[in-house]
Amino acid sequence: MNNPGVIAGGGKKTLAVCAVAVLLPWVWGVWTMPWWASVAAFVLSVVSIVIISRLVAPAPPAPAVQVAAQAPSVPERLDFDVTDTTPPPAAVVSAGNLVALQLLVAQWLEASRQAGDGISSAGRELHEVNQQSEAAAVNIGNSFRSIMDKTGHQMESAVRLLKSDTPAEGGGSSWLSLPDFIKAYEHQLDEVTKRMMDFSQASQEMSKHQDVVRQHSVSIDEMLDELRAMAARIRKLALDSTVAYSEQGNSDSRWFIEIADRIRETSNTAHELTRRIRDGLENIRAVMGNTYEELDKSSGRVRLAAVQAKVDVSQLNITTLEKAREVTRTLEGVNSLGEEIRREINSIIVGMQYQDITQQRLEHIRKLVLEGASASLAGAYERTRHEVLNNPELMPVDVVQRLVESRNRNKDGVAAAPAQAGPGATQSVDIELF
Amino acid sequence: VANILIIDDSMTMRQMVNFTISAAGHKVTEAANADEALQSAQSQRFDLVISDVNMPGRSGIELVAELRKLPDYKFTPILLLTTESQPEMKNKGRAAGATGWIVKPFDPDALLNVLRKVLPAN
Repeated sequence: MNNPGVIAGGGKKTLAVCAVAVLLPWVWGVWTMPWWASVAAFVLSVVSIVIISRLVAPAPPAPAVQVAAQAPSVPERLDFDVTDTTPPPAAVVSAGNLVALQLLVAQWLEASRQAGDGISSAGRELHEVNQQSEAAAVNIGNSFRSIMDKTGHQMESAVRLLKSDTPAEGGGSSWLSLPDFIKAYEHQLDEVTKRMMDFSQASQEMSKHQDVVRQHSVSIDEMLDELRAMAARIRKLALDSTVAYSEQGNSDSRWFIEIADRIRETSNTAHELTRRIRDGLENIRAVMGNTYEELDKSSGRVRLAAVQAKVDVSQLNITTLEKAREVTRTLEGVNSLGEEIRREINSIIVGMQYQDITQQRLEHIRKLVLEGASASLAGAYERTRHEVLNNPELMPVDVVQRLVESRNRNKDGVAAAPAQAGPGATQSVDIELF
Repeated sequence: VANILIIDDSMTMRQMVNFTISAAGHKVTEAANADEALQSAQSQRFDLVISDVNMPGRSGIELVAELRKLPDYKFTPILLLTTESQPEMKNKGRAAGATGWIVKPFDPDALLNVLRKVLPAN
């Protein structure tokens, strides 16, 4: 900007030149004029100097305005050709141009104030949005953590069903896991099957014993037939002896002896048959006793196995019922956890919506406030540039030169219209120029 | 199982609605704007339409009015799902022919309850 001190120095030199130019005629004529004419001419010269100095000297500078450093005499109005890349001459500032400059500065101030208000409002809204976004993110994180915990609990509950490390209520043996429960049932089934196999084997043994008994009974039948035949023979012998005794009388003792021998022989035979029958009956009794004993043992074992199986199955049933109740409780817990997970997922859905709404609000703020502020500054920039291009004396030479260079670059298409370019481009041009 | 069309310019919002409705067993078709929605609505028949209000191009309320002009959608339930809650906006939606107005963020259970109410029983 301009420098009032330098301007003051240039004015003194001008005043000195003017004073010399005006006073030289007075000095030349003072020797020839009367004294009163010399005095009058001196006074008029002084007055002329004052008038000239008033005409030449600049107006008092505005407080915030600085005038160009080198301020030689230049036209107040300069038709500036933007295609001319040669630096323009140095400028001086007139009162009218200062007013225009002040108006531009006021426009800049207003644009900056509006942009500042908008950015402050945006900052407050962004703070609020950030808080909502942070809360939503925290809620989503908590929901995910909760879901992970509950999923872990579900897994533990499911795995616990397959393990037998859960102690029974009230102490004692632990509840069986499902695999152990299946193994226990299988063991009981094996036991009962084994007992049934033993019983079947015992039945086979009994069948063999019945064959022996049947053979003995056949022998007894044969012996009974023999006894019946023997009884018939004795009856016939008695009848023959009676007939012979009546026909021959008691004269022949040999015949009587013969009859007696035959009766004795038959009696011995009958005795032998009786003994054999008794032996057979004894054998049958022994076989039947063994059979009944084996049968009794087998039935006892089967009964014991059945009783044991009944006891074990009863215990298994009790365990099964408890296990079923435990499974029910676990499944209810899993279902409850699933319901909680569903609610957590709903919370995540709501949180994600908050995130999306926040994103849309941020986009809205960016469009309304930041782009508005950018457009306002860009407008002020355009008006300032227009004024400066039309009034290059407003700005120092170097600034005008940069402006011309910028305009030339714009003409090459680098940044044709800052107001239509993106916020960043406009901002960079603004920063570069002002 | 209902055939449902959801329209929202936000992919996240479409996914959230889709996730909620699909979990209930319904078939869902997505559209990012009113033009896509009208194209889908003319290519197949939907039992329910859920649309955002503020979208690029035609708004959700304009979409409702366009859908009501189609013979197949004169009596189809159309829900508007939006962050707007001003009464005058609701009145505009109602005048355009919307069946319901749901304010974002929606609760998934509440959305499913509304679906059960507006969808035909069969």
